[in-house]
Amino acid sequence: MIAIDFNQILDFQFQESKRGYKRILSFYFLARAIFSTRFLIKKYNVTLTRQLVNAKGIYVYLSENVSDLKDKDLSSAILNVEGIIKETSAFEAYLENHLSATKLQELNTTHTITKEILDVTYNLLRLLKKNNLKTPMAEASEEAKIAVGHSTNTLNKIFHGR
Amino acid sequence: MVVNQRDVLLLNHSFDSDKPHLFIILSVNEANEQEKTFVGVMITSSEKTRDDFSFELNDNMFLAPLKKENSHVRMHLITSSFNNYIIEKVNSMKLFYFNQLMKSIGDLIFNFDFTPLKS
Repeated sequence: MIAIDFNQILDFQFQESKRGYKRILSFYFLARAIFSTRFLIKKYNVTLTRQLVNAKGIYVYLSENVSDLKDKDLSSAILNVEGIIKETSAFEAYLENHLSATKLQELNTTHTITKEILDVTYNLLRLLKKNNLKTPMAEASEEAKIAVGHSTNTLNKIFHGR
Repeated sequence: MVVNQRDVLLLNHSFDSDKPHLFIILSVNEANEQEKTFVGVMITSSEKTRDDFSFELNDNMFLAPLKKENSHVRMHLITSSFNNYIIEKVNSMKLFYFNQLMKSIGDLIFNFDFTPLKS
């Protein structure tokens, strides 16, 4: 049995990081007081590293207890993790867009840790999706028909030239 | 037209009643050049087909905004196509997110490890 509420732990850690990055960005891009900003970003990177370690810990824990996840309804956890990815990727893109304009090494570190967090969160998402209870669709979707039609057309063109 | 891995292409097809669809190109340039064919995976914004085989997309994952809300990749709908079905190239996916997409396709669709090789 899964003994930790991994969903809540992930969410709590993410909310803490989110509060931090909003403070950092507003301070950095509005105040521009480099000395204080450097200190604040360093402090924030510690928070981010904590989030990274926690996310890795949860991933390892769930990987080791994967039989307990099998065929359970994990939809709400999946939705939560997808939400974390969406917000973290927005932060990552924001950092990436501003990296070229700054000489602050600390902001580079923030970007690197953020990408690592994203990587681990995607691993977690894959683990949850792989083990989630699946309900196959009753009939093929329009998208499926179009996709198969594409391959059929390509084969026809190769074999029959039409 | 040169088709690059990670390109987002609008593709036509021969079903007259259906609208063209966006695809992300999975195959590498050398393979695409060989016979002017390529392998892509379908993007949709349909809510009806959102499930564990969907890979959520947002503007931050692309070089330019996607211009369509709620888009997701249907990871199991992988198709081969010809260059002459291309209507236009509309975007390109950033490497980091493309790698995540490939890992997800490998894991969830093929039960294989699609970790990128160093080029």
